[in-house]
Amino acid sequence: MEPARFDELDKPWRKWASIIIGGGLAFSVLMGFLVIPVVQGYGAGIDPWTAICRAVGIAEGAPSMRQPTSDAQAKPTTNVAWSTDLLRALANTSGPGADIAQSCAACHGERGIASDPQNPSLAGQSAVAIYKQLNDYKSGSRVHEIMTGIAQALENDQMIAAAAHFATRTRWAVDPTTAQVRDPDVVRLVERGDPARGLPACNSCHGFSAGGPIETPTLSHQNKEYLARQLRAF
Amino acid sequence: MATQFAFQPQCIVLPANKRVTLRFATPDVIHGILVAGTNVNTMIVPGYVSQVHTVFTKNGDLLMPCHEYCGLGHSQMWATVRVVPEDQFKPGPDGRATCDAR
Amino acid sequence: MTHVRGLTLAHMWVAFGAFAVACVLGVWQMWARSPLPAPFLTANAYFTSVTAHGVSMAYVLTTFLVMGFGYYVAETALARPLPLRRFAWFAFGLGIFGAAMTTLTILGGTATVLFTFYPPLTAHPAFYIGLVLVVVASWIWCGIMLTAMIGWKRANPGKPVPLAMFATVANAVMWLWTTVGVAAELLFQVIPAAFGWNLGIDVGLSRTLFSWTLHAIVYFWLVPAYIAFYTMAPQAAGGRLYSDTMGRLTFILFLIYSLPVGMHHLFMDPQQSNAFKFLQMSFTALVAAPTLLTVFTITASMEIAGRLRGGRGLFGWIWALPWERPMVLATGLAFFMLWFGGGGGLINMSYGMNAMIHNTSWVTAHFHLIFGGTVVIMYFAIAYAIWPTLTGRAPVSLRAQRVQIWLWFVGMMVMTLPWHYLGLQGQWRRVATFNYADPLIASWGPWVIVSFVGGIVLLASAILFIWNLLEFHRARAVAADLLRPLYATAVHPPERVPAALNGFALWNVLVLVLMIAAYGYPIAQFFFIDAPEAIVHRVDGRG
Repeated sequence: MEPARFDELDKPWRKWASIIIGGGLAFSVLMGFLVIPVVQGYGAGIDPWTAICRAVGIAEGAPSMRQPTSDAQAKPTTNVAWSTDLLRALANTSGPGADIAQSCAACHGERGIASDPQNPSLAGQSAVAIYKQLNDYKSGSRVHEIMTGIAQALENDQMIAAAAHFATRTRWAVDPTTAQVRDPDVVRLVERGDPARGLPACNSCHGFSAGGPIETPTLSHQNKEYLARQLRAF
Repeated sequence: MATQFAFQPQCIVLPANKRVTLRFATPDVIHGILVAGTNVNTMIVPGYVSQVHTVFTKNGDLLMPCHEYCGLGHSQMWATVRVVPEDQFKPGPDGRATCDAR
Repeated sequence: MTHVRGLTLAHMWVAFGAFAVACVLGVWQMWARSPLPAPFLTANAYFTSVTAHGVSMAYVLTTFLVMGFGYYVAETALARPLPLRRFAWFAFGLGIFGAAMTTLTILGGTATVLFTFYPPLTAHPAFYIGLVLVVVASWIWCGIMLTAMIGWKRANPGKPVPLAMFATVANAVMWLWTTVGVAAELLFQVIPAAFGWNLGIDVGLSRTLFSWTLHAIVYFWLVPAYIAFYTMAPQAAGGRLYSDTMGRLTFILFLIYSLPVGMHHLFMDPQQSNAFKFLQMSFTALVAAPTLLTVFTITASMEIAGRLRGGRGLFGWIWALPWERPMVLATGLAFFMLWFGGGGGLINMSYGMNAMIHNTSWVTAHFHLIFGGTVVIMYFAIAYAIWPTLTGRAPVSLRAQRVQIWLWFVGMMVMTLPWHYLGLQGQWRRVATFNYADPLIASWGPWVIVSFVGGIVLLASAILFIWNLLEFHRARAVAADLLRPLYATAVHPPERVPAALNGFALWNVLVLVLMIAAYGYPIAQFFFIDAPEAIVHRVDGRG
């Protein structure tokens, strides 16, 4: 067959496919962007332009309901708001802060392992976790007779620097006096949680590769007096 | 507020037979909720606020689990929606009405 | 037909090997979710298993099977040696390497992000890179399929491309279009986050990009089953294909309407607007059309076969069909499951009804039934049909094959029907252990156990399937010319088809228009609305 006759067979396909598909597209756009929002908005006393803007997504709310206002006040329990800038700063170990971190060692141990069990070991805690606690002490979200005073004397930049430094220095230290947990009930709570009480596995936040909240402290190799006290305080 | 791995608050009181608007947000990862036995179902995506309009018609405690994988603790993340008759719905001066169903 | 024997066998064994392992994991997961105490059950173990099961079934089984079957079709349907065979083997190696990389990270516990990734949960970069390599391998496959078809068309100007190959290339074109979404998400957002170069991710954008891929990928998995429906089942039944044109139209409609519809996976998401959700819902309604076309066409083809065998009356032709042939049996059972699975799909597509079932067990039931049921049962039938040609051997009795197919059907129905019901009750997804002390949840317990029993039947069927394939190697050799694969002939075999039904130029243009309309603004909006980024949550213990 010659090409001209090929084309005779092909042209109707091109034409009708485009018409049918284009028509379907046009119909859907007309309905979804125009007809349905305007009709819904009419029923709720919303003007057509607002209804269309809401349907398209450039204004808040639904095209079919009035957008309720609220003067509810948030009451956050912490003043820390994570941002990528803050996280970059906490990862920066080359800034100033070595000297402040040094003074932490007085109670928390040179390598983060506290000699007095009244004090928590900070070895293995991330800079993010340390910074969160310092900030909470400063803002009053967390209260401790000694730490509150210390934190309030620090500027935000100093807290960031101290956390970054201390975390790096004490990262791999392990308290040799802590032991492996063997009690099956405890292991069950750690690895499985308790569905009846709605308890997630402790590991789901405090585990090494859990993917939970980034400021979660690690609990392994913490001295047990401190752990017990904190659990009771919570 | 949906967080890893609990809702804040974990129990909330709402009136029956009134139009309510529910708003959800999360500071961390993707969550989602449904309220069992109702048409309330939404994803909760970090960076965005989800909004659902509904009317509760039956009284009682409804289960509101997190239905989207949000990490290892997802299986135990749920809240309770307590639907009470309109005359028993008495929010406090700050507009909140919580319960302690858990 | 000697050239692709090794290539197809290699791909198929990787696919079915991953499938068998994933079946074992699936059964354990069902045990874990049930009220019966399961061994090794911790939150970490469960979600690691879910990740492994999902990656094996959705990425490894499917991609390798589609590739292997595609090479087989390219050589046998076109009756010429496969071009670029070295590239095909290279792609296979790349795919294996990538799959191994991903598997190692999952087993190492550094990638419990499930097969749908869920940013900002972020796994070890090797997890994602491994999957990217599998996708790149599949792109090489696409190139080879296109090359094979173009080469055949040059050698046979004006003739219609055989339907089996036309469908395979439609699948390849669709795959190229659809992988753009997940590739963009991985390359620009998730992998940089995994390496620690980004500390935040716009999750709205990543979910939208992933949704681009999400629907057409299931059609990528489904096309081999439909190729079997159109080109192998009528032949196996002893009849003719009712309409070659309908077949071509079906695969074209899949190409057009499976792409601009991904937002139906985001119906309940806050980052996309009603109007665009409506637009994509309309197109999703249209993607039901090719399946309806197929049901009609194949039923008509089967009727031809039945009546040729002496069936009389309105339904007499059904009993007259050769049900003892595995391909015919699988097709019948697949169509039965297609009613339930497809019907469930229509419900998922409807925005209002979607609100009732989103993220409940209904969704899990739906895709296990439609993919694990309708599509995978045809994967078995395809394997049984081409294994004689690939191995040069055939077993004497097909009884074990029929038993395996029946077991799969029964197991799938028993497993998924209770799941549909539980989803309507509000049972939600991705739970390692339910709180069976709660009275509502306790009422679900017996049905979860019924599903679990269905899962065990499926595992038995999976093991029997692998056994049946191995049996081919112990079977007696069969003369090569008896094994020539035969594709179904149409009632009116086409001598000349319009270019629109013989190539994809027109359809690519239309797909581009639809994708711009459906996804243009929904993606572009993320570049000027100022949504806060979500902080990366690592699951690989680094940082």
